[in-house]
Amino acid sequence: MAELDRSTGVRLLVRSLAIQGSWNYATMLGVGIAFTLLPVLRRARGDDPADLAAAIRRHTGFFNAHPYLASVAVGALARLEVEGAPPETIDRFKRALISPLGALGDRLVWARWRPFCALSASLAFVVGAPWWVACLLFLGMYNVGHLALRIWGLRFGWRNGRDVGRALLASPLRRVPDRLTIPLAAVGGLLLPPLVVGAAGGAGTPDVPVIFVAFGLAAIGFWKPLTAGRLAALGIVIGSLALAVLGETLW
Amino acid sequence: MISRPLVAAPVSGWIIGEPVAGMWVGILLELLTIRQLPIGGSRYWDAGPGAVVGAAALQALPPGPGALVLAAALGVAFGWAGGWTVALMRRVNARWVQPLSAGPVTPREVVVRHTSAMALDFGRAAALTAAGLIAGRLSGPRIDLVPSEVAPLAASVLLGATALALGSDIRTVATGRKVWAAFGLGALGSGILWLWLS
Repeated sequence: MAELDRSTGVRLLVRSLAIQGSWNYATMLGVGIAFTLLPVLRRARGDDPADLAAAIRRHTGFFNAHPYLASVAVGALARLEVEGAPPETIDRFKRALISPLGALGDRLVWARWRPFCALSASLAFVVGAPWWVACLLFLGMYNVGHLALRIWGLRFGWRNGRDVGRALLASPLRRVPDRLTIPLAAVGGLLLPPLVVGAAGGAGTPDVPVIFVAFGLAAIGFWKPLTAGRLAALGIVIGSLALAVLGETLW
Repeated sequence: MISRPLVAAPVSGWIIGEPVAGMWVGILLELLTIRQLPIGGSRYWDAGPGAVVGAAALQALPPGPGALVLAAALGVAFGWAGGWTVALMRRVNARWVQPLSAGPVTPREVVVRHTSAMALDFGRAAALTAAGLIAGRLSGPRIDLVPSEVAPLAASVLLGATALALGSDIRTVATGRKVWAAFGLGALGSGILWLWLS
């Protein structure tokens, strides 16, 4: 197996941080993939300008995945390019990776890790941590997971090459979203009472009724999440208009 | 992730001397956006500029729950508007990168088109934030809230929005009886502990 040298690996990793830079409705992450792979394409196909141009054009085509787990695709595609795999194989391989990388990444990061970090940092703040500690906690926790996922993905993709789909199925990463579910819900529950008491505390309302009302409203949020989410945003906007009227001014 | 409300709002608040109020605005906006998953081509709020605009508005408002509601409303409005500008930019990007799949491509062309799309995004967010800051500067001083009169209404709005959003967030990202149980037990335990300690 060819080795992924450290300098190329670092360049791939750094470029992958900007993989969403030209995200668009036609090719989605396509151009980002080509941009990220450029160091490898230059190395593998740089001797023949026509071959290099064809490889770049191939990679600017449609591709989508979760942006962090796209590093798995980048690692595997880099290896295929270095090994000189035929263009048709690379195209088929890319198409096959879209769904698993998207589904796993969306569940793992957007639906679990980011909410978990945000709610944990919010909990730290509402129970008394200074605001900057909560900010640093969120940034630190989130980015440790984020960068670890990108580095792991790049290595995992390179190591498994064209077998990366099968390896992903057997990967323990697939179980992480399920394992984060209960801690996420528990942190959300722990956050609710101090959050609502803190948010509504400025009016001098007693804590007990505030907490009971919050339980009821959170249950409505569980029952009708879409409506409740919209209602929360709408409530803020309508409430602000009411306050502006109360303040005897038109905003 | 520095563009998340949880970071952007308190840092903006810190710049104008209101970091704690900024943090509250950030938490509120974060709760309102957690359930918006940026999956595929879905449209979602651009919460970063909204958070900066909302927190910056605190400077012109008298402290209290009323200010938090007004600041969060500005954040919601600009976050929502920002979502439309993101969608527009993605359409522009589609045209901008289209030549890459139409003919011979050099590495330089890929780099130029990709990085210029990033610059466009930077400019879009900066322009949106600047528009919000100007709007806040122009309208903020005209709002004259009397904290004692508006506090009950503002507190009710904050209570309703936070509790509804939190329940909705958890249910949107995770489902199942165990989720109910974990959330409920967490809330119950935390509520008892909170009341006992206070």
